[in-house]
Amino acid sequence: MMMRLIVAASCLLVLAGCQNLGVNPWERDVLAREAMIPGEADGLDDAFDDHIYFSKEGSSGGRGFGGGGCGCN
Amino acid sequence: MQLKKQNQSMACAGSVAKTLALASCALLGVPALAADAPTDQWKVDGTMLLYSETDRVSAIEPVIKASRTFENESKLDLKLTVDSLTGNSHNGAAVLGAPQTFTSPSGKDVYQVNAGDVPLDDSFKDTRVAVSAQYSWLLNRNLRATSGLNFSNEYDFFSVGANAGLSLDLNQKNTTLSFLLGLESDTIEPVGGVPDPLTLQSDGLRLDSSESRTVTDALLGWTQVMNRRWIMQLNYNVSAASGYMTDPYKVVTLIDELTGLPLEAEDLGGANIGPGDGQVYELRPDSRTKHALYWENRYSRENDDVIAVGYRFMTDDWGISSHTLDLKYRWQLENGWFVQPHVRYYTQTEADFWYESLTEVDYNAIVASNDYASGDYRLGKLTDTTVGVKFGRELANGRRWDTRLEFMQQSGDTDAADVSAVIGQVGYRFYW
Repeated sequence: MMMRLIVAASCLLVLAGCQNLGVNPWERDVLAREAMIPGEADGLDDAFDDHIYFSKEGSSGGRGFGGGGCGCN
Repeated sequence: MQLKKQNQSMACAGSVAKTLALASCALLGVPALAADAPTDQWKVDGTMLLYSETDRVSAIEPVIKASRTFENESKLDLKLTVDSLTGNSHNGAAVLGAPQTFTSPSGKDVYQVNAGDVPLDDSFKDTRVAVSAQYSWLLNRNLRATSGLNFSNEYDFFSVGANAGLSLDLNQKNTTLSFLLGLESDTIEPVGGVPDPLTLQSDGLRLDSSESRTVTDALLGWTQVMNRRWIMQLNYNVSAASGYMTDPYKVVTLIDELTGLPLEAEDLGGANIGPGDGQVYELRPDSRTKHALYWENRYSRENDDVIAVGYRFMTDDWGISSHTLDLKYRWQLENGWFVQPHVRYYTQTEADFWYESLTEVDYNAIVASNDYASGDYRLGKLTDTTVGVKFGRELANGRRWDTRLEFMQQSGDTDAADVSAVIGQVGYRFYW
């Protein structure tokens, strides 16, 4: 119970801290570039890489998940 | 002047909402539209991947993805993947100083591997066809829902999955919190039937014709605009799989504990198919829970070059822990040209039930205690390094072409883990 309270309090603190981060709506020019958007910047590369390394390593996930998997023998 | 500033501000606010919607979609693994995408056209990405390992597997993978954003800011993404693989695949056996004999996946044919060679099955050939559709829509100004379906079919494998999620914008859309839940059902139909695990391959004992498993995924995401040039994303992904996780085409070699050479099946009460045929089908646990923490940072320099740093930590209840570091630097050149070097480093610990080979005593102990054993190098200690470069050019009307060339090197505690691969890719984008 105490652990849950600590986790919840930490999350609230982090979100409260986030209020001091970021930019005004008219300062988004750089962030609007595709190269600055996680998951979108490299087109289909991420999906290709996730599939290659999923089938060659013992790890997967994190960036996203799913997508049909494979037998990958 | 004031009017001009106001108009500029409104235009930027529009692109902000679009950008963050994109960021949240990307976070969910959902294909998203480019920030400048027209709303009355389909964005089409056609890409061909060529993957070739030295003396092992080769793959050709064409993919076409079409995305469209509608007037109400809902989005539809469609993707078709065809994956054609052929070549030699490691069959799980150890690399030893004596010849070894195996049966083909169907059990009908026999093949031998010379002393000192990595045991490879040369009958590996498969074609995968996968389709997916993802739709996302606004529930209100700050809340977006998404839902999707995907199917994947191979000769011996079929998968169907569905997902649903929400993303919430906070702090003037500088913070996005996301949650996505996914369910997947897989059916595995091994060639020749499901092998009886931990029995001699030479005996060819089979159980059912098919097996199944389910995978449940949950992903919590936090995307944060740090400042005008820096955006960060932190994901936590838990994945729980239940069912048949064993590779039906992999074996573990039984060796003599004194000589280190393969045992003979006939000496263990099995059928004799040739020298070094003391090979047993592998067995993995029927459940697996993985936890992954992924952290990505993107920083744009004053000259518009972008530095991207990704790090993932993964751990599971099979005993595997891994670290992945991914670095990219995008040089933005004149006339839309760009060059992007890429380095990826990966390291993992071995699964609790990974064995390069087993002595008869170890094997009997595993069978007696209903334990597991696999010789698949992908579950052993592993270190991978990938280096490469991508370059391309942005053209008029949103068109773009790019190409990349990368080299991957794997190494581990067994010679079977020494894999070199070349990754080549060409892509073209247009609006239709």
